[in-house]
Amino acid sequence: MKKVVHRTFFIWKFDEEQKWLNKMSQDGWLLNRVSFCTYEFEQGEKDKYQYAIELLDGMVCSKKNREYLEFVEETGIKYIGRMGNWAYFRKEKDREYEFNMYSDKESKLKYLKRIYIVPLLLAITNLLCGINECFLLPHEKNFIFGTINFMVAGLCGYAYYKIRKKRKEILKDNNITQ
Amino acid sequence: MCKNLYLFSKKILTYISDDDIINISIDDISSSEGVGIMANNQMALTEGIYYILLSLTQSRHGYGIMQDVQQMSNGRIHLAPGTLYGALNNLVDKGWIVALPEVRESRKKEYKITESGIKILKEEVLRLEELAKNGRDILGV
Repeated sequence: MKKVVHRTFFIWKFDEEQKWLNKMSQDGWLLNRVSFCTYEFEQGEKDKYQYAIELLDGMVCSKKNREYLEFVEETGIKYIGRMGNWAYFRKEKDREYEFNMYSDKESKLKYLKRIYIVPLLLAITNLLCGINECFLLPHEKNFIFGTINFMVAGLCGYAYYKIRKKRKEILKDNNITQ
Repeated sequence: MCKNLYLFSKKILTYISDDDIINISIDDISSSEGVGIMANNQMALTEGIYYILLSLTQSRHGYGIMQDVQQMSNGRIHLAPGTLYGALNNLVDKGWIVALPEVRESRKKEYKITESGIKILKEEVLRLEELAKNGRDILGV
């Protein structure tokens, strides 16, 4: 039996998204396919699989990413599909370890930095465009575009802020533990 | 860097004012190995890196490294794929390990430690022994 769910997770809610997929898996609904804001589930064995999500680096079809996906699959993890640059993975549940793509502090910090750089750049670009449209080219239509730019900049800025907060949380004990 | 130079020069001055400068040779002062403070410029390795290097004293592929490290650390250290992949690339860049050319049909990429990697590991073991010894002496464990 199949089930299709349409749902949007904001960029900084990847942890919640992962928890949701795992909750579905616990109830016997296994994610099989993803496409834009769409999740396809199939019924299967309860509580057998765990899911992890990762934002891939750079172009999705690059050699580096192809090699990375091959590497991941060699460790017994199944690559389910992707939504943009976000890759979805599944593996059989391990009693002792929660399934995540990054396990140690340093690599996690580097990964989070990779995630926040896109919203940061978008925020800055949109901010500049907004200023340009609203103040430097005073014309009715431009004002509307300018406002849209500011709104996008605001949302992206918020995304950047939320992800940076996650990094700060990890860096809290940086001079005590590895 | 500045702190090291300060301690280095402080030690030189101490040596020169002592009577047992006879034991100090030109080599000791000119090379960084001779003076203890500058000898180990290397930073301490993280646990994960240490165990990855140790595991690669035998050629292994990704999953093999994961299992070996888990076993060596009695289940304490679990290397996630993203972490391991990044670490392996870093280690290859540093020249401490090499990716072996794919010979067998299985096409699983294997890695192995290099000479410089072994040197780093040996120095690290000495560092860890120093830490453990002081801990044992002071705490009596």
